[in-house]
Amino acid sequence: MKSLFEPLRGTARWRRWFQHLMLACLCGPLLQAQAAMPAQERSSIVASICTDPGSYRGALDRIVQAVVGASSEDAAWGKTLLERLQAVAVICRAQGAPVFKVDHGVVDAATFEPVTEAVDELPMVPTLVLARLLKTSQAEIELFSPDVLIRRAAAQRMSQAYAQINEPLVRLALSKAADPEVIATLELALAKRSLASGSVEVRVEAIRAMGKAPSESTRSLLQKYQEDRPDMSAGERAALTQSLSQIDRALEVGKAASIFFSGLSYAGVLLITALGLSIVFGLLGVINLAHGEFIMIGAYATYVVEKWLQAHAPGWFDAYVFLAIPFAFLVCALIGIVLEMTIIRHLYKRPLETLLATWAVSIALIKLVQILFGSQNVEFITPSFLQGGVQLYPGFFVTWNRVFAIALGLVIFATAYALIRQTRFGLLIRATTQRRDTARALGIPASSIDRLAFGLGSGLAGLAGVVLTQIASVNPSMGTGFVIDAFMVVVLGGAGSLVGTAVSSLILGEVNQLIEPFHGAVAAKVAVLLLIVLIIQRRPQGLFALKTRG
Amino acid sequence: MKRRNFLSAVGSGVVAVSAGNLSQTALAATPSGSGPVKLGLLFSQSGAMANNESLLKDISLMTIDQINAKGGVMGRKVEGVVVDPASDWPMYAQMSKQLILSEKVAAIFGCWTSVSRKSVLPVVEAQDSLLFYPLHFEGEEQSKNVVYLNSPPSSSVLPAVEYLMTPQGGEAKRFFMLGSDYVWPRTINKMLKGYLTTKGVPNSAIREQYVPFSHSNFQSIVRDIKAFAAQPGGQAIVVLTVVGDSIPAMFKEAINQGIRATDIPILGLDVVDSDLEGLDTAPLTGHLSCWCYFQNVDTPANRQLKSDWASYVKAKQLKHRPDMVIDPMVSTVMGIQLWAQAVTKAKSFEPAAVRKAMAGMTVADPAGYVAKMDATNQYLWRGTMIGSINAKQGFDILWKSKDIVAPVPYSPFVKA
Repeated sequence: MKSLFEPLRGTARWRRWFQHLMLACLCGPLLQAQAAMPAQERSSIVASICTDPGSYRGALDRIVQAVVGASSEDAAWGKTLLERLQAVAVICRAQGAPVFKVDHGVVDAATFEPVTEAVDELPMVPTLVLARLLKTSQAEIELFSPDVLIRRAAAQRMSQAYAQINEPLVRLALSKAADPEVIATLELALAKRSLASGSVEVRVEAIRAMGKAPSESTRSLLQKYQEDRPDMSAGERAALTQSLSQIDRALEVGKAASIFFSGLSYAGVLLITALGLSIVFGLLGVINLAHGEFIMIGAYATYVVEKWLQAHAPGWFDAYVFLAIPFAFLVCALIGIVLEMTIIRHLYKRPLETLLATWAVSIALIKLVQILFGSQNVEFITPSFLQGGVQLYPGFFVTWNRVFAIALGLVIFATAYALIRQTRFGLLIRATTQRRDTARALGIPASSIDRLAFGLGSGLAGLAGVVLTQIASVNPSMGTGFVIDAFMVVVLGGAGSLVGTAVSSLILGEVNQLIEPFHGAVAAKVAVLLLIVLIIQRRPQGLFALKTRG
Repeated sequence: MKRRNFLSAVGSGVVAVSAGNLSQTALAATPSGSGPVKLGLLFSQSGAMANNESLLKDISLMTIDQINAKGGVMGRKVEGVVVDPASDWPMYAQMSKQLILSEKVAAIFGCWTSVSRKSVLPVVEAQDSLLFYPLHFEGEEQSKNVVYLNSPPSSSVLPAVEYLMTPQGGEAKRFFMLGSDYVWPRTINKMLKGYLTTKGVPNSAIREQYVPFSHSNFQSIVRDIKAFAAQPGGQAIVVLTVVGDSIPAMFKEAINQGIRATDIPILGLDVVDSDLEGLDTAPLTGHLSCWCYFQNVDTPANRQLKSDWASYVKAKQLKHRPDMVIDPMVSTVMGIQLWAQAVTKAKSFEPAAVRKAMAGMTVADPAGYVAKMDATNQYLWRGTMIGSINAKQGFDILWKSKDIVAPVPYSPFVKA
């Protein structure tokens, strides 16, 4: 990308001098030491933003100049003004100068002097147009931030809003930039602008530069260029074809990767929600319609941990997701064990009654939580490390909360699998569920094993609740949506097989996300249901059936 | 406490009277009756709609208390009969029938979604009762047994979209319509497409997608939106008509994938303050919604309403946020006041008389307008506003209509 301006140095030296000259002229006011702006001028800048949408551009340029200029007083004022505008705290008055709303009342927008008379007007809400310009101006200032991450983000905004940037200022920032990423991004921003240049060489260079930075926006810029200039030169045409095919190739790969990733993350959610059920329904044979409510209780347990940390240890706040894991597991496991002792144990081998009883339990649990917490959605502040995401490849954006769901799903699955396959407790569960009478004859305490297994299944459902707080909204009736999906996964995978559960959630997740981008979410859901019907018809026992003699 | 004693005393009186005089059928509805007059409150307190509808139930009870404190209506106390249809659409029909036939309510206030209204419609028509419906909705309906307290799209959605297409509103040129798969989003989008066509927007600049109810995985859809917005042809906006749990799920995904209002504004037609609870709204700042009322409106009537609600929530120890009032709540309050005014004017609780008295009647709107009942079609004329989400989980008012807007029940933009 650095090569963008290099040929100019060799071929047209004067052009470079000219550029410098232009820079000096345009940025002159930025560099000179100036005296602080008079209050009247400040006031008039704010007033023009208040009254005249046509003056936004000019007014904001002056504010940015004030901030990057030499006077530290002006810089502080400009920063405050931008911040107050974005915080919806600038009040334009019908009579009198504009004011800022601050914590302790109102102050004059030019002098920061407290305003004594009552101000009852509402603050100005920035229109979308103003909001966009404000964001760009903010980024223009941040191009000169000492923090390289902020400079990179600001450069991104320059490239995104290339049409409205203050070009001399960006050139100035570019001449001072050292970070290669900032340089590349700013040069891309300038390249996007120079697509409109009068010189063919500059345009060809810009087209080449954009081919090296594949994204949806560079592609549509080039496509538009192609449509707008049917009479372009052969050189331009060749560069354009090459750049477009480069971009298309990269975006195809990105799209495939992101479809695969969303399938994986959907599979992760399915796996977590179905894992507990796979033990309760698969191994114990209990049709537990209250499974979704255990998920919900797990989510509310997370909420309790979150609120407790917020009140007692704000420094550890971000860790609430991890602290909630053991807590939610224990709470749900305990409730599960109590449920088993009081209700389920009397209903083994009577599926219809179990179904009705657990349904009643699920309604009771929903009502209980409604009384305790209310029926509204509860608030979860996403820990900072789960916010946002990262662009791994052009067109392939990965969000951290989904990565978290996949990772935690795998960890929980591995733990549960090891517990069932490798430990003595797991052996006892398998023995009891496969041949109950023989197991009891061998001295295995079958009824306490049942109880513990039910507790384990409920606890796992609770863990699903922890993960879902970061993805879905949490309210007392959230569980009902998940229980059906969970049953689908377990039935398809084959009752009693943990591996089957994992494989079937992977299949359902990927199939769903493969269809959704092309035919919509409704069609994806229908297709998945049809797929399950077809598979169950061929293999009523599910994909991975457990071979038992019982 | 006093009120409860009074009600139970009156209640036993009613039982005694009705036991002695079984032939008197429409007891509570007859003007000559002496017991309290009953209003049916048909709002779910469980299931997917409980979050929103329980707000309407409680503010109805508050308004009824206020009316009773001033001596009731025509000298009779008003009693709210609460039922819970549990977010189950057929149940709304069943419960409305129960309210009319066995509780003998004078009118019903209820429903949030259009499906529930459609389910109640045949019941109120057969019994010739009145349903006061407080939500903005898709229009295309006009029944003499329903009072439409909120706006059809012609006076809410279309003005908002028109504003977004102006230079001030950001010059929207391309539209991604994303909705839950049922009658309200589909009708709105059909209408919007018809409208945009008349504005010269080509079909290629419009995308329409639907998701099932309670859909929560918006990964690929948000990706689609980003790709759509990057295509040439001008500024893109999202017209969001997903409902319920899907709203916060969609917003969460949009935040995580880095969509900001400055790049792709989302106009969420069913988004109210309660949907923003539980979200960090700082990254959502600037996304939009349009309603007849936002609680930031600065009028004396609104300040009064907000403080009344806050003290009611506190006094009754309700689980709601005391500092949150949303448009459907205000519409419900206005509906009850309208009913009380009409009854007083008609000197009768009979639906036919109330309906006649209501035509052309005005009622104060805390949003700062004077709302007016249409003389012919039972739609209320309201003002319209666009709100912009702020960092404090609420809305700032970006734009509002100068005056109340004429509702058009049947849109010319819906092609048969």
